[in-house]
Amino acid sequence: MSAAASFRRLLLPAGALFGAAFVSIQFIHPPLENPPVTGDFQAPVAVKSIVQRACYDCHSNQTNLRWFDKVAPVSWQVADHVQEGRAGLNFSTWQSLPPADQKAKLWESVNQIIAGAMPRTDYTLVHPAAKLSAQDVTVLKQYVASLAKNPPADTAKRNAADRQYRHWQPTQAVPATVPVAPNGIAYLPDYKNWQAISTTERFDNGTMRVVFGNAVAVKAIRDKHINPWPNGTAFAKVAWDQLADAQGNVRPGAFKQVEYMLKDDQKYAATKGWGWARFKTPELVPYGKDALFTTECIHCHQPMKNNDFVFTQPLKH
Amino acid sequence: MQVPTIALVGLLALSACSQPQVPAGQLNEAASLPASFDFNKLDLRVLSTFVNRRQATTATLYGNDLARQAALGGTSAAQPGEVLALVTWRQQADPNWFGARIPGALQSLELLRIEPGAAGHPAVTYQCFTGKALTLRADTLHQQERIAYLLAQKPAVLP
Ligand code: HEC
Ligand code: HEC
Repeated sequence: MSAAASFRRLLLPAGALFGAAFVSIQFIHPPLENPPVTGDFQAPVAVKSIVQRACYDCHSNQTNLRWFDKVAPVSWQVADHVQEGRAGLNFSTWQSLPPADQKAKLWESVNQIIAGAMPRTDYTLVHPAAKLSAQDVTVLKQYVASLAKNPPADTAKRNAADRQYRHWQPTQAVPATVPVAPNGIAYLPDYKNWQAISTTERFDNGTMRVVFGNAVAVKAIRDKHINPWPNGTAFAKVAWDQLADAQGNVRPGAFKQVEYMLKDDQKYAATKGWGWARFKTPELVPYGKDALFTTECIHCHQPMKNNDFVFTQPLKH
Repeated sequence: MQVPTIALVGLLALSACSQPQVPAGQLNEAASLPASFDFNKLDLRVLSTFVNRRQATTATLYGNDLARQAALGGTSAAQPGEVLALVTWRQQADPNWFGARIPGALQSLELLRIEPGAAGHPAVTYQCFTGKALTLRADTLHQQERIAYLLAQKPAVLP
């Protein structure tokens, strides 16, 4: 018997086996449900129709699966994407978000689109209609830009900043118990002695920031070894409210938070090689219900994955 | 010949639109201070940061411990040994985040030192360095105004 003939003889049972397996896996995964729409996203028609077309399959409770999305094993991956997509951003429960969070999610969305991270390319390959044109992106950019208003600070904002300043005692040592984030990362008071490697004016949310880098970071910058950053690198980013006067001079108002990224590709392998932490208000309240809060950090930093998840282009001193 | 060319162009086009390139591993060269200036030897810490929307500039204020204490204390008279530095950049759009502006071209570095002066009165020296190379400016225009401005700044809350 020739090799070709024996191969043919094997082909039929193998095909049958594969077919049977294919049919039976169709029943393994529970079907994807569409929970009720409780408060749909509202925006000008031009904006909303773009978002519906390109994002709603994964970021709403109005997922519209095509037949090829429903065939296992593809359907498993689709279901995972929808679950994960909805968890981070759901346009069907939009009205339950405070207005500031709605704005933040829209700016994040536009940035994910500009970076080419959303809609996911594995999705647009099979759903080409969801691809966004340059014109679509312009419409979305103009819309979010129209939401950014940074008027001169009102009395309330000034008073809040003044009150905070009066209560702040920089000479006071670190609080008796050092605050610790849910993933075990403790607040590091020493960041104030690190070097500033950049600053940002965020007109999307009316804050201003300084990004600090520790000695390892500064050496890496000097040696131009910043992709990936070496283990031991630490960043701290501080955010304040903007206090603008009528002439357009802006200074830091109330302190909002300090955030850290600590590099250790072994210890923090599960979170892209970085230890993430955020402490809010001068009381340094750890952010996050549980250790999963890092998903939010990673999702937004995801478009920078080719740059070791770092946004900042550091400057040398 | 024709077919492979079309296929190649198609492939290139595909790979070009799939992932817009985010700049990777890049330093902000335009905003960097010249190494020759050796800013680090001043051993200063960040005190605050500012933006001037009309001029589209951003600045970071640095100071040593004495200057920081004086700034925190508010009105107390200047002490010999205080050092303040204000680095100002033109702003540029953040290439990685639509919604942010970051330092662009380096514009100036102002350096203020309080030194022991005659008859127990501390003396203020003020220098202004400008441009990418941070060259010392010869004229003394607006100096008093700038000195008053620098000494009036309060540190930002850094818990
Ligand atoms: C095929 C499903 C899919 C489509 C379509 C899609 N996304 Fe996503 N999106 C995801 C998944 C999955 C995540 C989780 C992170 C990841 O995989 O990158 C996500 C994450 C995000 C995040 C981060 C949310 C967080 O967790 O904080 C934003 C913002 C976002 N998507 C916006 C959009 C926008 C805007 C569109 C439409 C232009 C879109 N996405 C289209 C699946 C999708
Ligand atoms: C909505 C998007 C978004 C989310 C969510 C987010 N970041 Fe960032 N992060 C940014 C941007 C944009 C920058 C660049 C600096 C700036 O503009 O403020 C940045 C910068 C940083 C930096 C300075 C280093 C760098 O990458 O440039 C640290 C540290 C940091 N983030 C920590 C965190 C932590 C910790 C979390 C989660 C608790 C988090 N971030 C969540 C958008 C985000």
